[in-house]
Amino acid sequence: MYKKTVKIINPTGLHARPASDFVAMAKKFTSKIKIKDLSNDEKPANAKSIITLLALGLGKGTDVEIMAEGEDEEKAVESLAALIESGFGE
Amino acid sequence: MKYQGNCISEGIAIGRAYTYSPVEIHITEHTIARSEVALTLEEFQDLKRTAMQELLQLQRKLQATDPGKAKIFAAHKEMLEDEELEECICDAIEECYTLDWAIESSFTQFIDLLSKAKDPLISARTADLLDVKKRLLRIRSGTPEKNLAKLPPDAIIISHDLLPSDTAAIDRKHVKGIITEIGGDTSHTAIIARSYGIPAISGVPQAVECLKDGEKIIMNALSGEIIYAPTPEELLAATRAKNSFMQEKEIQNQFLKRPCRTSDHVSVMTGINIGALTEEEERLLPYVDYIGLFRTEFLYMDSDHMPTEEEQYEAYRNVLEKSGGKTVTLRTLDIGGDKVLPYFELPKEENPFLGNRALRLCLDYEELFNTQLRAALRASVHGDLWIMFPMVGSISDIRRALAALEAAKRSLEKDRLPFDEETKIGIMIEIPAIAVLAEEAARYVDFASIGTNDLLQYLSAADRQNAQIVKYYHAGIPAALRLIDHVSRKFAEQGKTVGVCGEMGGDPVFAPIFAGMGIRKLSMSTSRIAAVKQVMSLFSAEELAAVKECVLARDSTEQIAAFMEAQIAKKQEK
Repeated sequence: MYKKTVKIINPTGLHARPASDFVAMAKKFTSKIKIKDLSNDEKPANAKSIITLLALGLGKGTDVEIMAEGEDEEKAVESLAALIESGFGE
Repeated sequence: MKYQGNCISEGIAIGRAYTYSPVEIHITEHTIARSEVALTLEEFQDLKRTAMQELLQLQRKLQATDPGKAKIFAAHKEMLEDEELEECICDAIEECYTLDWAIESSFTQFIDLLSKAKDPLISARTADLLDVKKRLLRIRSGTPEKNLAKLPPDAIIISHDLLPSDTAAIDRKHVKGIITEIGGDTSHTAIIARSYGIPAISGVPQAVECLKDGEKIIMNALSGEIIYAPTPEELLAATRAKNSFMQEKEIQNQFLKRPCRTSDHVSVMTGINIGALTEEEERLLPYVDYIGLFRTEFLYMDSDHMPTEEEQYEAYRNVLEKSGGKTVTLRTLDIGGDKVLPYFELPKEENPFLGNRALRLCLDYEELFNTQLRAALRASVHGDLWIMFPMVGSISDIRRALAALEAAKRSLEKDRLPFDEETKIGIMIEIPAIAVLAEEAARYVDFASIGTNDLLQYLSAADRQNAQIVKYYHAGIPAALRLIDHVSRKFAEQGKTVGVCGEMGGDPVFAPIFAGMGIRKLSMSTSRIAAVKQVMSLFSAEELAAVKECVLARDSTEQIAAFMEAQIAKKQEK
């Protein structure tokens, strides 16, 4: 298991296009990947599920933890964290 | 059998009914034998593939013509591929539920989950999930998809209402007419029908139920009459009426290519109202004098993010370059209330048409306004750009808008970006309050453009989209004409330009009245240009002024319409 905490910085948060980009990238990896909102006790979402990700309603400024388990776990977490930190080009 | 409705796009069509309504499928809980589980799981994978194929095709078809709408189907594909949702469906099958029930119950669970999201933009996406679910169940039921992309020949579409997504991929070759149960003169259906030049009738209750698929229909969108299963005599009469209407259209089309002049050669400028410049609008550009209304909303509505200054600049510049030196009147962003942007959250309002919209909203969101003003000003060096503000209600609104414009100009100077310092600035006259204060308003701006749709709606306190009360909207016309005459005089006294860019400006009954008031700029949708040019050629400037006096002396819409029709008929006989 590999994990990392990042802050969402883009203005719209993980909604709309950024959410799609995030899920599309997660699907490139074979590991099981989860994302958790650190500001509450909600269950983590499957990073390969757009619906559960949207349901978390992750807005700008939220700290999230990305965790992965599998062959490419480290690369998956680092890539997804970098995507969030890039601000999705907004 | 005869039915009656309101004509929202004129013409006569003879064709066959094509009823268009979403397939409703009801699913109940059932189980399967344990031995059937493996096969059902396979069936589910096949179903997913079929649905994926459909979505891909829809997306591809729209990609070239309307990339904004194509995104809807991209989002649906994404939901179909959702890992958690798929797991949930497979689990239900493993528990020996039928595939239909597994889909129904799993989707319901996820729709619930999304609908609980605090953000209304996220909860609104349950509609997409519902759409995907319906697609799967519809494929399962063996019913082919019904959309408007592939119509049988001579189709007259019968529907409760048509939405932008329905008409996005409409089969233009085969659609002959549209009949809807709801929708007024300025509804989406009306606008689409007029831009395609096909007849449309709305306000026909239970049309979908009464007009059976495939049955022969005559629709006369001049009288509003619909004849279902016509007799041979009725068919013959309709064919005759259709031919004479087409002949008249032909004469009008000859007028299209001439300049718009009165019989004594006084020019009245005709313009077109555009959004993203369509093919049809580009085709007509050589025959008009200017673009009287360039709606900028499409840039925002078709995007998944706030359009950047650069994106807007490119779009404005494109329109200016294509217009070849003709004036382009850009209206700043007119959203809020009912027109929302997926990436821009606004509080829900009880009464959106009286809410925080258009200029009001722009004044609240400085950065948004500044970005658009900077982009527009930068584009001004590529042609003759005029900028106007929508929903101005007071002198203070004008002052604040002008201050924002000034700030945008100064910031461009600081960044050493060129713009035309002489860019003309104007206001839309659509809130009655500013119409009353026309004299004062004219001191601050270079021009005014009268938006008759909203002006009439606010003046009459009647919703023009509501077929049931559209008569109250029309009843406001005499008052609106007097108010418009007032605005026109006050602006003319100060040497400022006044134009009309609402639906009334493109109505051959009202266009001569505006010309009689001395208004020399009328902007309309493309399909109205020829008819306006024709009617204008019938009268001299002096006669128009006299006609206007007679009209302003009348106090009912019926009297005004009857008077105008008599005047026009008298002229046409000669």
